[in-house]
Amino acid sequence: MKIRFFLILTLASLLLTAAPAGADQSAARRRLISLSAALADVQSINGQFTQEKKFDFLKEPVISRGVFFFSRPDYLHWEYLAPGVSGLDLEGGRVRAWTGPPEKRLPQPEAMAEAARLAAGQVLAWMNLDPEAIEAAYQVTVAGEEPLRLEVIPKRAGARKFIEALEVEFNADLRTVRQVTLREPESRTTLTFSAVRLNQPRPAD
Amino acid sequence: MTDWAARLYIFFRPRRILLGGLTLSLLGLSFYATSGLEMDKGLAALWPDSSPTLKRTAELMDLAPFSRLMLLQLSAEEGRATANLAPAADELIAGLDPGLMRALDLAGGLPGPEGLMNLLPALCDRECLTRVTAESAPEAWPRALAELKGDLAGPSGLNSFFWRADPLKLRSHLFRLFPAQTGRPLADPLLGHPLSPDGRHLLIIIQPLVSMNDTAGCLALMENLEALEAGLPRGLSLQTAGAHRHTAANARAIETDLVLTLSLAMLLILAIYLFLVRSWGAFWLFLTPAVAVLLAAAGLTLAFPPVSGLALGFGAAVLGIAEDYAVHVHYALRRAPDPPAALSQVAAPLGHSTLICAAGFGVLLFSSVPAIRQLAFFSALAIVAGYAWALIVLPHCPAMDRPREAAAPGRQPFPPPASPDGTRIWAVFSALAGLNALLLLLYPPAVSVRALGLPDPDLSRDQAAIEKVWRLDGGRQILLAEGADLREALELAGLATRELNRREPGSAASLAALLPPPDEQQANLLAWAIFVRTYGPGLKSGLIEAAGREGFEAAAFEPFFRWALTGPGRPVSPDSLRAACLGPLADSFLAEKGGRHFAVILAEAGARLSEDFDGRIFVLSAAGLEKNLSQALAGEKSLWPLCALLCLALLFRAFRGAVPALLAFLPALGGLTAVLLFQLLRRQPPGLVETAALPLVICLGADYGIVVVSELRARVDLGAPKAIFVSGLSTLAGIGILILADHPVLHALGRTVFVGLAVAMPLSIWLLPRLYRGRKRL
Repeated sequence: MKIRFFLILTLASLLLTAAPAGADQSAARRRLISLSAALADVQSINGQFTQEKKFDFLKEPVISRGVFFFSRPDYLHWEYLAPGVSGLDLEGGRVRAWTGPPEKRLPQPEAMAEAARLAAGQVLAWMNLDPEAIEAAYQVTVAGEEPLRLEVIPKRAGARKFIEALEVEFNADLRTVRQVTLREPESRTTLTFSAVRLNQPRPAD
Repeated sequence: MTDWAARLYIFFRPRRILLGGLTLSLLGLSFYATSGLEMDKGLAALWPDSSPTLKRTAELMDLAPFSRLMLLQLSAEEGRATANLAPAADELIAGLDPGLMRALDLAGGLPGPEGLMNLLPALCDRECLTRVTAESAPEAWPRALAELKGDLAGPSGLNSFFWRADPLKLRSHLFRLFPAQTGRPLADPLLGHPLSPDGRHLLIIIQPLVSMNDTAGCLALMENLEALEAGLPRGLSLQTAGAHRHTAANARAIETDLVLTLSLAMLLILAIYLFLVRSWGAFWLFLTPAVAVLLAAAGLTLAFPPVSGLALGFGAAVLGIAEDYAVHVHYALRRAPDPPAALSQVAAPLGHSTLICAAGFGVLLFSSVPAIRQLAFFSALAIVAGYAWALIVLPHCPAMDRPREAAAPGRQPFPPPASPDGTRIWAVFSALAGLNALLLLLYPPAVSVRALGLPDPDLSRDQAAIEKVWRLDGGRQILLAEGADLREALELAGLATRELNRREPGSAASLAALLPPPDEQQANLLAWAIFVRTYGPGLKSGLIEAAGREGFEAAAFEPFFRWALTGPGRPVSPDSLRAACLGPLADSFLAEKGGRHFAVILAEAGARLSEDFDGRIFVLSAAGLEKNLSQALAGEKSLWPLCALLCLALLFRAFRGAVPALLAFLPALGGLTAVLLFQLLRRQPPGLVETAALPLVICLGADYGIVVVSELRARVDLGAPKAIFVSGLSTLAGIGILILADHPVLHALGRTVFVGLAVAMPLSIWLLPRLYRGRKRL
């Protein structure tokens, strides 16, 4: 659902570039602070992703691939390229969700765009990388050192009905995230990032 | 007849202890009566009660859930961290006084897919079921399952939320029944509150538990919010919007204005007495308004429980006239050879003045506004009390009964009788009356309620900011469908919603489609049961088999089979909506008061229903309300001319002749002309406050005229010009000082009286003697 989807995006926006973490929650906080400082000069993040969803009631995982582009202060492009083409763009609080290739693009219903707009607030909060803001909504702990893994749990019970936890695994360079795993009541989603680049110019619409 | 005051004086002169005892007893009784005063601090007394529609609207105003909500926006300053927005919001909500308001839980209980879909069988009518049958037929399964897999692979949002409970996407039949435009932003499930896209603003919606007409409640509510705002972390600010804030702002402005102006007025009046009266008797003059207030408040308490706080507040402000009589008696006592002579001279003119002023205010008893009627009653009582105090008690007070100002030896203050110059008096009267008529023709009074409210730029700014951030449309109107029971109210709401949407598709929303009549729901449930019996077994086994081919486990769609194919289904009620986590929706669109049920219809501004709905649907739009109020208040415009005519008639009766009556009326006419002329110069037609204040100008002007003309006719120097000067100045200090008030109502009241008296006073002191004596000079 939308919450899961945007949690992936928001955490990815935070963790695609990262600094090393400590061994506990306060260490994680220090990491978030240093990460925030390290990302101060980052204006954009882009790359590719592979999304693998394992559902309890689906025999095979559902795998999809796509590209993304974050740009400060408030631009996000998230596009699935296979097996189907769909995605969304958000900028300045406005959201366009769509399906189909560029030449046959169909807008998604208003309700979905509104749901996406709601989530956009979180995306942008993460883009600003304010440790206090993150800790207002999540409990972050260090789950492993090599490779570095952070466990992120929504603080509110209402949110945990949909998202139990996220696990974020960093690349060895500790500058980018390799994988985000989202644990849900009846499914598990893994996002694996590749070809991540920083401060690239924004592509033309 | 006119000697009654003198006789009473003579009677009480040796019995002053008795008089003192009687006076103190009366004051004590009044104090006792006033202690039981039931003060209504609400604004309901300002609503005209002449129009049943308006009366009903006033009752229902609090009922419309949308109109009684308050929006609170917590904002982080530009460049400041937004981290603590959500914790600060939680803290703020925890600090809300539970007796005054509660925060709506915008995040709690996101509706579960199965709980929602459970509603469909009872709501699916014949047409819906035909479509459901087609969409759940075996030939539809392959496409539906392929779409489902595609959705699961993409940013499907709500689609994957429903995938197990609704693989065939039947939810569209349910969603179309939901009222659109609920206008409530969605909460961020992670933070528990709606957060703006830029992350800088957080929205809290609160439901006040006090009426927006309850000024004390609104003040307490705003004080609670302001205290919480003061405790916010640095860099965060709170903006609020809602009718309760408006009420509190008005109440505060009135309170501040009255405290400021009444204090200033007291000081000014004290200064006037110190510098102009220069006698210990000034103490009693100063005491007169307090005595009049006490007696009038006691009368008001007995006659109008509960007493409007506004009427009492404004009434206290107009008490400057109550001490007029005391001033006249004071100067008469100082000029006349002895008190009985003074009292017999002033009793008649002051009696006429009392009658005219009381009658003038009596006209306001025909007002459609309860607060104005109470104000009129209060003022009339205060005038009578002031008169009685001045003539019966005051002459016996220490330092009052000794003549201090003897006529200068050899001075003949009043020449031998000269006939009043009737021609000139008629000419001046006609000129002023003509000017009045011309002014009224050019600039007729226009009553608008808009001018009565306190323009609050902060509130307007906050409201605009909140509406902009959350993209709220503040221009919608609320309609209330009333019924003896919920079913009747919903049926009516359904009819009205359909009519509005027929004219302008999507322009109206209500809960009628989600809560159809029970018999309709029973028919739907019966039809659904037949659908289940007919297609259920095949649908379940066939869909499991087809889904298996697509890689879905057999139990994948158990939630779907549970709600769609198991059990008889349940009728939908407000309680079942709440059970499906749709409580806020149900509570927003349904209300109950006094055993009557109401269904809310949210419509575009300006949407109109046919006459069939007249009297059954109440419109609560701001524009409609303003128009209805203005129409109901239009009758107030005719009160002051009535007062003027009554005043003139009583002057004719008092003087038994046209010329002195017209002469005595000139100050009132002059004051009236000045007010109208001033409004013309301001390019503002006289409004409700100006027209309500005009009787005061007329009565005071007539009061001055009576005293001066009586003195001229009696050819006795009772110090009328000086008394008018002193009492006029004290009235200007008492009421005219309201011109300094910020609140538009108080300011307009002060301005009108100030302008009117500023002309009436010199006319009575300077012009009247000259017109009366013709070309002869004193």
